[in-house]
Amino acid sequence: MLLLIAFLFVIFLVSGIPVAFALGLASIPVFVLTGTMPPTVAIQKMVNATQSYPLLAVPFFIFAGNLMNATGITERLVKFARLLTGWLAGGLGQVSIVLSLMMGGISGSAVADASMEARLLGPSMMSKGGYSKSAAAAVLAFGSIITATIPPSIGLILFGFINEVSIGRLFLAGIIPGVLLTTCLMLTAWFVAKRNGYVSDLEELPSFAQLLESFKESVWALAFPIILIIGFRFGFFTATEAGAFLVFYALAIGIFVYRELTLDRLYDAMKSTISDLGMVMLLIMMAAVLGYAVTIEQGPQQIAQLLTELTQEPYVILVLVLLLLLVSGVFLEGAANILLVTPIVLPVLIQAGFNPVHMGILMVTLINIGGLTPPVGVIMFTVCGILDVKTGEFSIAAAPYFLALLIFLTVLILFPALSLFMPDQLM
Amino acid sequence: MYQRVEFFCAALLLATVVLLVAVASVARAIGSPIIWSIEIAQLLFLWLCIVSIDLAMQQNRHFGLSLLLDNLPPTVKKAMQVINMLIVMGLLAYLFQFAWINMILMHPRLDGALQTPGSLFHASMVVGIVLMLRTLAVQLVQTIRTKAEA
Repeated sequence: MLLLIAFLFVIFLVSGIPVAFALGLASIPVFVLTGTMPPTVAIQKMVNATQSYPLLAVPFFIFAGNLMNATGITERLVKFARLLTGWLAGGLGQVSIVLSLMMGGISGSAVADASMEARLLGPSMMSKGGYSKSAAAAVLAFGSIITATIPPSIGLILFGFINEVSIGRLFLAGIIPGVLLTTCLMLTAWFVAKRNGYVSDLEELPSFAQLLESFKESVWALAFPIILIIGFRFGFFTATEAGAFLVFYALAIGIFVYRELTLDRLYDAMKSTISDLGMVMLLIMMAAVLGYAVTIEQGPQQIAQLLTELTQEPYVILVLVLLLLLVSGVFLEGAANILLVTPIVLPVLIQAGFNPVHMGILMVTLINIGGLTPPVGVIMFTVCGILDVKTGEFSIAAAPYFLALLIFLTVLILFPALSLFMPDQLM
Repeated sequence: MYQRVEFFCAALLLATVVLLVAVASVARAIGSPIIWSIEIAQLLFLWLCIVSIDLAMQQNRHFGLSLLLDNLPPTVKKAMQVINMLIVMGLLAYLFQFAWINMILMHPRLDGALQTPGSLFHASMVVGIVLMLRTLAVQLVQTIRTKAEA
């Protein structure tokens, strides 16, 4: 039966049916053929999937991200990032990486971040920075996965929700790896720029006064992750409450500080929020049905058994699971993957002695790497589409960054403390 | 017009949910928690999801793999798209009967501190499926009418 589910899912997926409906269609046989489960249960699962308090954080953070963009904060962050890193070799590429780190604190979606930056920075990277199209696409695409680990990342919220792991701890755990990943990518971009002779964006170091001026303008966005950490540390709010707070925070900045939030922009922000939300929620509801069907058929137990028959060595199990995630990450979009695959494999990893928060950071990062790989990586397609780059050229230009990511992941696996230090100290 | 009414409902629901959670957290912080606030927020969130899902569908946001479709000749691609829509409509129609039964089944169940009838929650699926079927029907007609693009 499990094979039938998997088979149907792949068939529907390949034939181009939306992923969410493919999930629903694949679970039908469990309800029809076994006869023990009335299909009304499927309907109940869909309804119940939305009735979770932690899940309310999703619309709030999506809304807050869209609002922040509408307030004009993005332009200010770009300016600040340029002053900070524009003078380095490979200037605009470095800017895009640092910008992802800063934007991660408000947008929390790698695809959204990548498309925003490709539009904003891509053209001048090629005209002024000396980047080739594919090199620009590579640095933009890889930089965007930083957003996956920086709070408030939607991926981490979904992971915490579906696996019942504390979202607050996940948020805190993502900070150090996020900064580390930024450093790794910047070093790589620097080497690539030196080798290929990409010029820097600013000719000289910015003055301290310029930096301070720009910092003052962007401080409202930069402060948010810090407010979040303090809030969790002292138990002022839960992740959901923090989301609601951030919506008001963004509104206040847009209206009182920058004064750029017009009714039109508010309308647009709501519009994109609702359409993002609809997309994620249909996935969540359908994944709940399939998840239930797979559990009834004892999917997690069978996978666990299969793995433990293969090996008892925890790190080998981990590598196998990560490879599985990488493969499914290549075909499925991030949210679908987190909702569908992580609940099946996380119990195995916990049993092997790994910490769920540590695994969360690792898996969410890895799933996003799937978005960067051919044949169907979503982030890759978004950036390549905007900059008009062929995926083959992209893959070649991306090789050094892949290598950097591989090193980063190894370090992340071998030193759990990198992820666990912040939550252990603060919560 | 139809779309604007739907969007207006969604926007209103979204704003209300944000407000309710914010009020609840402030109330909790000052030491007089309001229990019903989160309950209502979760009920409204469910309805928000239903409306958003349909709006996302109207904007073609429910993504799938286009790898195979993009590599097919235009006429075959169009046929596949029509078949896919029919399959999804079939799924929704199949689920509709159970959503209906479920709504009636859940009616006597009273939920939470407010004793909300369960049907208020579960009616959302009935409405949601009808909304999606309408959207799909419109898209189906549009796809059939437009010539296969070269």
